[in-house]
Amino acid sequence: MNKEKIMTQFGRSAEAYATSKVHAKGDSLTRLLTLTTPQPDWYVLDVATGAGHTAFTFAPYVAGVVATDLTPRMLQVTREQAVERGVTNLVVAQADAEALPFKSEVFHLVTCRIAAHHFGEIGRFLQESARVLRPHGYLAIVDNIVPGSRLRGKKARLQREAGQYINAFEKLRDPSHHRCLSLSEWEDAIAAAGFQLQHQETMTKQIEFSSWAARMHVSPKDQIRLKAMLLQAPEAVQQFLTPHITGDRITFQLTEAILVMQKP
Amino acid sequence: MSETKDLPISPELLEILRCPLAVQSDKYGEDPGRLELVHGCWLVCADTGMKYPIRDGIPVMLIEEGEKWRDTPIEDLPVPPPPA
Repeated sequence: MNKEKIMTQFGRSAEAYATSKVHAKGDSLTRLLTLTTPQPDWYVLDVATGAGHTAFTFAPYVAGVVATDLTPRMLQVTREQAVERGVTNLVVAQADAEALPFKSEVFHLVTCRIAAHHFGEIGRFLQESARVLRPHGYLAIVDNIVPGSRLRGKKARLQREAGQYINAFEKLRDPSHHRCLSLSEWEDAIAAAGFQLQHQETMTKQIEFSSWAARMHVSPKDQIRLKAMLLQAPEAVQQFLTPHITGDRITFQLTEAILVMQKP
Repeated sequence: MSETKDLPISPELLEILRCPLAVQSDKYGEDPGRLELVHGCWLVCADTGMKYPIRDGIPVMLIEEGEKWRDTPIEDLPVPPPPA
């Protein structure tokens, strides 16, 4: 049922994502290019492309890009942008990240940026990415992460609880949000799918509360709930989100992980 | 990998697109789920019988969508495919 929520949520938010500063100009786009060094003969698959920001970033450097999304409205926006920008080596298809409609071993690189937290089964997505990648091909993922720990003890438990709290906060803002993983959960899932993790890094991004909530059409009542969740959060959550109030303006930070892995 | 005005789908995309159900199975040979373009707006998988519409130029490659048209004979597929 989460897939229906995704289509509903992003069908009505497609244009907002095409112009969102966080999604269009994130530093992670530049980092992805640097870390993956795309080649002119490469074919790239961008899974859950949204308004196509990652697909457009890679298109000038490779032979072709296929951009997929679960939401047709997002793909229409991507196509319109391709025509406007004169990009001719980008095609789109509506597809489920957990059941990719492609021949095995065709892509040199699969990318997925700020979307995996919508997927119901990360393991399935990783397996499907591995299937469509050529031997030694790369999978590059950018997604928000939450605190977490594999360890036992009070501190580790508080970290996991903080992760659950932040996921509940995100889900109240966007019902199609499934779950952000912690870095350790990512490491375990990547290893289980048979990938070799080549590089990982994290970066924080400053979020302005009002535009963040508006992009998902949050009701005034839920905006009040979200503010309360943010400003009255437990200490471990406050340390992670670092909320700040300046006059009427509320800001906080989210943490993004960039994970680049290789198929053996 | 560009789309041309004369074709409903890029030939290069058609070359790599596969039925997402067939590719999960090992009973259809080495390259399962190949698709044939019919009526200019449907992609039909001979392995599974799944039929995927191309709506507004976008192939809809979702298993639930292909399943919906699985039992419809090719000659009865609506042209153009109805809206979702």
